[in-house]
Amino acid sequence: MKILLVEDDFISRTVLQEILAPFGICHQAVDGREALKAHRRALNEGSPYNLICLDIMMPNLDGQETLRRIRELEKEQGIGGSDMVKVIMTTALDDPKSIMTALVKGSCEGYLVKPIRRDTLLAKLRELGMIQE
Amino acid sequence: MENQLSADQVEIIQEFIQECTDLLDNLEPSIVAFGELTQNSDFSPTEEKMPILHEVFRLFHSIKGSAGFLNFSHMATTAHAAENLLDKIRKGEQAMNGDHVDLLCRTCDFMRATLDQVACQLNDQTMAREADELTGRLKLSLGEPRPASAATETPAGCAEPVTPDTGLLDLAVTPEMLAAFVQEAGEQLQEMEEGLLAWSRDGDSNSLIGELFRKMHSFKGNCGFVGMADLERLSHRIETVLDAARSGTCPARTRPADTLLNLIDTLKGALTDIAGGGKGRIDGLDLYLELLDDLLPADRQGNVSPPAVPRLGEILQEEGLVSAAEVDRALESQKQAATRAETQPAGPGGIAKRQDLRVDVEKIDNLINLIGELVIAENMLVHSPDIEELELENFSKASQQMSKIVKELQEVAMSIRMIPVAGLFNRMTRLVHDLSRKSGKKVNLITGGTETEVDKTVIEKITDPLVHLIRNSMDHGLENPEERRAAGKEEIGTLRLTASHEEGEVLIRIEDDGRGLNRDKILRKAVQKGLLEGDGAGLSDHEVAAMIFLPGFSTAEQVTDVSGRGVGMDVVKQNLHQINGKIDIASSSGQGTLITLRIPLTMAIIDGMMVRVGESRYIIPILAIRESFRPSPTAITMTPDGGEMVRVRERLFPVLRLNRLHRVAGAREALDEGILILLENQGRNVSLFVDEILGQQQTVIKGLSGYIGEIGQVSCVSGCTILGNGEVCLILDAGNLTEINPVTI
Repeated sequence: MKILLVEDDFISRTVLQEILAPFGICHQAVDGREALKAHRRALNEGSPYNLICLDIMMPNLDGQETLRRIRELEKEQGIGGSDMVKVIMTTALDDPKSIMTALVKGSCEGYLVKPIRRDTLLAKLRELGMIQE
Repeated sequence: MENQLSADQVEIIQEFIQECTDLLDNLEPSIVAFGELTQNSDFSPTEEKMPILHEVFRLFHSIKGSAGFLNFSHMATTAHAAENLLDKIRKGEQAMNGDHVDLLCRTCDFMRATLDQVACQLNDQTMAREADELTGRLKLSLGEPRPASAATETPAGCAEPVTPDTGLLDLAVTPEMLAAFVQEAGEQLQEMEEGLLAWSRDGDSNSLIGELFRKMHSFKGNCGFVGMADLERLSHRIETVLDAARSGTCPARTRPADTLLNLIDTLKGALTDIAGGGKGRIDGLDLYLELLDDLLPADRQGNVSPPAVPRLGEILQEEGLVSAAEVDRALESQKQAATRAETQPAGPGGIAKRQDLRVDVEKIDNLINLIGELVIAENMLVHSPDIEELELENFSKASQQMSKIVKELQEVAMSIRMIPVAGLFNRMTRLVHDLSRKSGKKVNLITGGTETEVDKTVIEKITDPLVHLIRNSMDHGLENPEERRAAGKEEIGTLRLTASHEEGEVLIRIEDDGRGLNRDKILRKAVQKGLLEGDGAGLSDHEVAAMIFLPGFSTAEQVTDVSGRGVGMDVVKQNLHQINGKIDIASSSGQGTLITLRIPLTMAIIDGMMVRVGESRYIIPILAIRESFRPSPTAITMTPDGGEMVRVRERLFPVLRLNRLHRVAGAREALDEGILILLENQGRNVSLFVDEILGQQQTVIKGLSGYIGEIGQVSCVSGCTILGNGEVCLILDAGNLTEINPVTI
């Protein structure tokens, strides 16, 4: 499994990396711009990410906009349906409104409220059928 | 659960509803488009169609995610099932057929119904049954390895969309459609009630009953359109009774008006039920139907009785209990909805996308009215008699500047009321799809010019006519596939619906490539119905075509629930008349029919020609004028019954003297001293005799008060305007003028 972690905060990013490392290759991006570059590169190489963990509040390009562009890119390349990358939004605030937006506008697969906990994250991945156990 | 929801959460749910409604609005046409692709054979996704499939997939995906987030589990599971189906199709593991499309359409309907439910109750608990059924069917369609055989096996319900009791039909409506239906139907019932009261009070009058009949026909059509089977059945029977009353074949002892009044109450009750989210069931429907049979002449009872009356009664009684509970709950939720209505921006406005502001239409009407007044006041000021003789350089500069601003202001105010016809056309896409499934005729609907903007009132007024016209095209115009093949045409018929602007008018064209109008059949029918004297051999094709708009005219051999009673076209004419619209029909046998609706851009201002008769001034809408001329005495001919005709290029037109019609004193009497203005409306002509033409001017239309309006109906006046000098001037109604017989005035 190929994973992209998008998170501006070093500690959160590291925590995610620690949890997910056993399940696949983890790449990191510190903001939306980097994330988009990585996403585009992976698509062009023909080995797209399977999972993106995306923080909502980030400098430069926030998570919502990043998500929107990720989907746009996929659309351009004719990728759709269950081939779309699974996106889990992570958010510091339990802000249902922005989660709603991500779900409806960006068709993300799930969301997690920080601080990220190992069992909730893994439960989410199981639910999405990305890991077995 | 409701009690624990905070204001914040309610707001999120409302946002969810709004977003989902927008998504559904955008995608429904795409889904329907798949329907066209699957008409002949199964559809396998191709390169260019893939993006649409992806879009649809994403819609359900988004709904699944967000519904799950908000704990609307029924919605989430249904969306999940639809998503799975789409994914299989996308991957090519399964080909898409018509039933899949139907299923997806139903899923959309279900989503809308659920959103509606959520809007009232903040949860989707009540949709459990529908959700289970739909999910089951979606899963079933997944289980089929190759859907070639599925066409015969899967459609437990899809093959029978006309069967009233599947419960699925309740879903085949969007919340907006339902809301619009409830409102409109309520108004129609109200009008019918008034009509029935008048009937009961004043005794039989053919025009009154005809009017009632027309309204009931429209009402029935609407009920059928939104799938309210019980309402449709009851109103169909009432209509039959009214038809019998109109033709005078009702048994003499009966006084139908009172019975019908009670039934109107029943219909109203059912409507209230629907407004609250109920299914619009009518308890003891068959009892009412029997009651109505008593009002019918014996020979008409048999052929209208439904085949399965006795058993239905038991079922309905059982359901009567359910329905009573439903009404209670419906009332409850209605209250909730009412309190929420103030805070909730419902409907597909798309707040997030555009900076929209919801404004009460009344405020805008008020604004436009005031601007109209401003135009008049400005006129009065600039042309004030006090300064008429003076040379005022600065004043005239300032007044010119003001005129310019007023004109711009007027244009901006008008544009506020304009909305694109896209929404209206989208509704028609769905109508065509449903009708096509119902009748088995294959149709490809092509819409064009959807961005054309039209006054909102106009949109409301042409919705009904458009529905009628499309139904007619589908029912009478387009042939079934076998006939088309035999005639050497493409099996799939084409229906083109386009809108465009043309010189201050909006043109809406409905064009089909069906069998066209049958001149002989129309003439035969017209003679048979007593609508025509003689054999009509001298009539032009155009005039023959116009006959289909006469009340009571229908050439269909059989009355179906789609059309054939000959009221629909009358409704079309009446509605268009109200907005000063015109209808043109052109048809060539075997090639198809083109119907053009010409509608003035706005109903508030027209280009008018001012004329004088005696001391009175009148405005004639310029669009109705063909030409004006001073006749030579030799061009005038007298008819045996005392009428006058004028010859223009070898055609004779009746002369109508406006001074006699309105009893104006001091007008000219000799035709060769005045001016004849040749008017045309729907293929009928009349030449109007006036003293002189004063000039052309932009006319701000003011309605007449209700009591004058009634008189106005008789005297061919559609409204009035206020002139610069404060004088009131009547606006003539070309439609009425061309219809009256000059000899009788």
